[in-house]
Amino acid sequence: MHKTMGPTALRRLMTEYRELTLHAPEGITAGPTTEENFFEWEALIEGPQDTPYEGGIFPATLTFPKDYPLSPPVMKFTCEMFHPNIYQDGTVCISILHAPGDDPNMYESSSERWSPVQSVEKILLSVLSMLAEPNDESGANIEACKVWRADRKHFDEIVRSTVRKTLGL
Amino acid sequence: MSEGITDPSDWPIEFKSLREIDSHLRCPICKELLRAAVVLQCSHNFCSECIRRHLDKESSCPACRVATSTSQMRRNVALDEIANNFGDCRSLLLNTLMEAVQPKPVVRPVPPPQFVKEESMDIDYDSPQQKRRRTSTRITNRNVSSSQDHTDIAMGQVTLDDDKDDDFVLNHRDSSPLRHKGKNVHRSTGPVLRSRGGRAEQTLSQSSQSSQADERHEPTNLTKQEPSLPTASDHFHNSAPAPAEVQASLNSSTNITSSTITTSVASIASSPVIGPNLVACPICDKGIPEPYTNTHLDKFCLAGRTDPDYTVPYSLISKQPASVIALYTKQGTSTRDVVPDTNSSLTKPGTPGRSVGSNSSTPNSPARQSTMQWQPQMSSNGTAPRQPMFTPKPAAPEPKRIPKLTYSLLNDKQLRKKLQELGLQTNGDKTLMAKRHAEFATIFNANCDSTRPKPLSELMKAMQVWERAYEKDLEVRETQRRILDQQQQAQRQIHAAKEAKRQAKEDAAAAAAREAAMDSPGATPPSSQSSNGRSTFVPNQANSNAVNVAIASASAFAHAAKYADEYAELIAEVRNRLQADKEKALANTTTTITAEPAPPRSAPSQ
Ligand SMILES: [Zn+2]
Ligand SMILES: [Zn+2]
Ligand SMILES: [Zn+2]
Repeated sequence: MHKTMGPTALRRLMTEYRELTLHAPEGITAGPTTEENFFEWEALIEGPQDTPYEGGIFPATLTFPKDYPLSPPVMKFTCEMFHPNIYQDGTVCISILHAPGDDPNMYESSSERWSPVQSVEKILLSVLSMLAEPNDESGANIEACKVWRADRKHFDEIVRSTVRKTLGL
Repeated sequence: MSEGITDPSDWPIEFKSLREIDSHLRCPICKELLRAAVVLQCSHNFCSECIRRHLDKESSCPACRVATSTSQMRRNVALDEIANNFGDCRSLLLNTLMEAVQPKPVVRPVPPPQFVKEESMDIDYDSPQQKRRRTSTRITNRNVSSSQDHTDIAMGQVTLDDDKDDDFVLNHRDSSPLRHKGKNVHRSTGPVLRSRGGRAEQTLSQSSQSSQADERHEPTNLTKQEPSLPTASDHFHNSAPAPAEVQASLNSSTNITSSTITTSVASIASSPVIGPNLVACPICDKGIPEPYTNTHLDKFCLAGRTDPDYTVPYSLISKQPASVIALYTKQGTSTRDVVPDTNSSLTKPGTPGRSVGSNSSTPNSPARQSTMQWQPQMSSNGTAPRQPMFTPKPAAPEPKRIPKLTYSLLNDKQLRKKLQELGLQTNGDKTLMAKRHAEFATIFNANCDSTRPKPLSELMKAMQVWERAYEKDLEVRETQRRILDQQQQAQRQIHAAKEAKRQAKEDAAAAAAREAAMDSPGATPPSSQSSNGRSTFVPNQANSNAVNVAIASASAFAHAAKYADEYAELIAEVRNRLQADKEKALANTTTTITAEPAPPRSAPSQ
């Protein structure tokens, strides 16, 4: 039965994985951590060019709910990330990851938020553009927000030092 | 996961339109071919079940976010039929195209395919009856010819006679043989293709409609033949060589490829039926006893070999009166004398139980080619019924939907009664009962929207699966809660151990000070052991080994501060054990669970 809840989510994830394997967007790699559990993914995000994140490769996890794609996954960087929209524990806070119902930032327009027609690929692309253009209205990391607003140069320096750390330099 | 995962990009890049069709027949929520397609007021289409589940959470279209609700959605019957039938023929069509696009490696030099001269074909093989028959199968033949074109492109062996007109070349250039430019004049109600998996019957006619080649081919076919009685025998024979040539030509891989094309394309469109017992093989055109068709296809035609036992072209023994053909042609539904397929999805949209059973179990089975069965649809005496294919029928009464309930307004007893009325389980607390009712309402109502509804027994089976999944989910949640508890407890103990360590250090410092004081004149007497003051640390026997380790570490530090480094190791061990415990617990529960909220980072050592 393809229509009971679990299988739908599983098949949809398999479809997306297949799609991402065949036509991966630049700068993004993603897939299930193990073949046994399609609800836990690992992703590798390349820092976008012309940003302080350039040159970095940032690992993250995606944790999918059982009713995916009705509800969005949770995305969490597993490396140190200094960014206004990333919590200190690595959790990414952008509108596409928020269902319209549970919007921590009331200003987010509903058109940007999660809907079942969105996809892992769209999430990861949003994260790429989030790295390039932080949204300082949504303060997941207040410190990063402050620095980003007040002293862009310093912000870039901090980011670059975390990038070096990520790369083990 | 018996069903393969499919995707529009499965189609060769040359067939962009097929990719488009494929993607438009998919539900944007589940990304699979639409099942029980419904349309919202904003014109976006979804599987009934997918959109119902979404609308349970949110009252807007997932695609455009326009506000909507289940009461505003409508069945999209035609789209559902198209999606179903597309799903039925998808893998066959795909295999065929793939073979056409990626020809098998040629082992020995292959002469360019020789197109048979029309004249000779006519002289040798076309009886008047056959010509009439061919009128009826013209669509097929055109398909065949266009597929042949494609093969030639792929193999770089385009050797068309000069007198083939420019239309042909044009078709080469856009290299999309299945482009639909021609008007869909002839719809053939073909034989019913059944797969053993039981996926619903397919009238192949739909596929043939979608694969009709350019009308412009017609002049090509007709130029050298009787202009008054259009046939397409030339093209047909291009790919399905006449008996005399079969032996020779089938040996070349080129012709194997082209005959494979014929397999599906011809089988899609043509359903020659001859006599009570013989049917025409869609590939080699020979008359084959109906029960033997599968074996014949599998062993010979699909394998590119000729069947030594059946060598007579069915056309030579066919005797179809032209008047019969004309009858169906006029109605625009069928071009040959077959009995209307009452199981056809065209004839009975929305009739419940039409494809009873496991129609979804193996829709895209790779074994499909070898499991197809030809069902002769003709009455045995060769006469066809004269009633029209589409008698206007009153719409089938819509099954009643299960109304949504406001569960908060019902008490347990009322809810239990509702479940009982639906024949559902009544165990569990109110939450479970409400969820059970909602789940059944969703799948039941979605099933009502389907043009291929499943029998109730299947829905009940699905509910059993749901019950098990729900139970498992509860177990998993329980395990997660236990792990979290354990972690918190261990956290507290680590904290206590740290406190003990700090105390131990103080004690050691005090002891050292005392010693120093003793050595010096005027020393004060040593105070009684202050290290006993750490009674706040109460071990919990029920807890894991982690506790013991923590206790050990604490007491170790009670004795001497010089074990500080060791303590750090012990803390690390506590953490490792906790991690191991957690993994073990997780391994005990089955996978596919969402992760618990992240475990609190263990306290930094030192
Ligand atoms: Zn769907
Ligand atoms: Zn819409
Ligand atoms: Zn109507």
